[in-house]
Amino acid sequence: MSEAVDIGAASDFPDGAVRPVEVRGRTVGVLCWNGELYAFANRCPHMGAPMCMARPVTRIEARGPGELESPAGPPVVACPWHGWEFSVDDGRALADARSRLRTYAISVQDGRVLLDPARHAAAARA
Amino acid sequence: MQHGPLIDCDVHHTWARQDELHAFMPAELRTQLDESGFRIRPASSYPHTGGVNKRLDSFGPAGEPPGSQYEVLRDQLLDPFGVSRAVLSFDIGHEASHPNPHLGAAIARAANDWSIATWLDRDPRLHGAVIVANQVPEEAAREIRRVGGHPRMSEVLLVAGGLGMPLGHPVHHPIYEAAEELGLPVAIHVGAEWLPPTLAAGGLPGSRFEYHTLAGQSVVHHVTSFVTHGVFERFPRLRVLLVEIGLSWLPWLMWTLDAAYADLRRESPWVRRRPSEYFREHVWITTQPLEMTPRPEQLTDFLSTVEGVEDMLCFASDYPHWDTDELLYVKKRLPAEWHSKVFYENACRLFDWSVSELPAPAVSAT
Repeated sequence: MSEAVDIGAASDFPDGAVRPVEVRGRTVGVLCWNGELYAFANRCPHMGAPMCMARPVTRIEARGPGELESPAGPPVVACPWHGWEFSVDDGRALADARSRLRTYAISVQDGRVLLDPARHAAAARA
Repeated sequence: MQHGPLIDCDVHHTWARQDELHAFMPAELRTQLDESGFRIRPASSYPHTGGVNKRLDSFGPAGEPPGSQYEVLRDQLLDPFGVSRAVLSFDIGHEASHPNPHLGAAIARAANDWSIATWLDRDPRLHGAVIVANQVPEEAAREIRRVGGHPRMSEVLLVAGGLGMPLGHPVHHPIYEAAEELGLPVAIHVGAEWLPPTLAAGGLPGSRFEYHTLAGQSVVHHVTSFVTHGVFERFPRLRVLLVEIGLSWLPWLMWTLDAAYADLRRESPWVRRRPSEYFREHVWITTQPLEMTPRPEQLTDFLSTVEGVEDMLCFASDYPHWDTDELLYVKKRLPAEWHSKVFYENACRLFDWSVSELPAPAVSAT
């Protein structure tokens, strides 16, 4: 049975910004990006920085030295302290896939945003 | 006591007189140099208490410069220490980075031809280094392709940064393309960042004491730039040997690079792996000068914080320089379980040599 929590109307989450919400006693960052919603923990796995203050940034990769590219895909949030970048779909750090930002399953039903603090985002999409 | 092969990765050979080198130069340049009396090897920047920066017992029988007489080198280094192979690396090759790029390139060509013609065939234990004028990287690449295929040329040698840019900067990449193409490791030797005033980060050292202590700074920067400029991504088969900068900087650099890599990935996303992983795969370091910690285990315990450090180290004597590390001193200060790696296995992996093909030492001292 889903443990999803209604955290507000979809219109409460403007595109391109991270909004903190309280869900069952924990603070969760919710990002709307190109109309898609993503949710993650308010704690960077590196040194515990508040990820609700993370900057959503375009994903930047490189074809080779000096050859930048911006592939399509989920956005990235950059830690407000050291700048570590995390893919918001599965929480993996771009610099080190072994490090992960906790993510949460989030969806929209009938204009309401539902977040399940017990499920990872990647598991929800599987 | 372990017995086995010994590979010395840094032995400095030289010409007894500059006209030995002139014989390998074009006639017009020879004329210029002869008529002007120009000395291509600059005078030492700082006085040396011994009068010369060499072991005082390493002169030739008639006073020839240390490192210029094969017989002396054989009798003082190759035979007594059972050296299986020695990589000859000039004294110290910075002449090829002369600000006049044409003169530098001519010096590099002549020095390589002189080395091949007058040293490499004298003893199967002797291997050479391709010195290049790195201030014109395309020219350096041509020189690598010209002589790098000689069976006894075992590395490309970079000494001074002729352009005053970190050696990982893309401007130098033609050198690494050629080296990788020929399967030659690139050796970066300390000590010649003196043409531009970039000897040390804080400015010009005021004494040999100050300079000697800090001389490794530039090579630390060079190898850092290899990581930051993605050299090992662009040239995945490239191997690098860092010569004569000591060892105790390694843990600091690995930790600092690994931390900065995650923080600053966005700026340089072509650095796809932890810097310490690039080091383990692509970088070897000579043991000389081995830091003289109060107790030997202090150094090796510290170095061992870098996982697999014993696979990165290659013995070097730096013969006949004054700050040489004597073999038995090095043996006593390194753990016995490291010896076979440090004294020959790691070098064989670096130079792609088979241990079974190493010449049997005349006398085994390892």
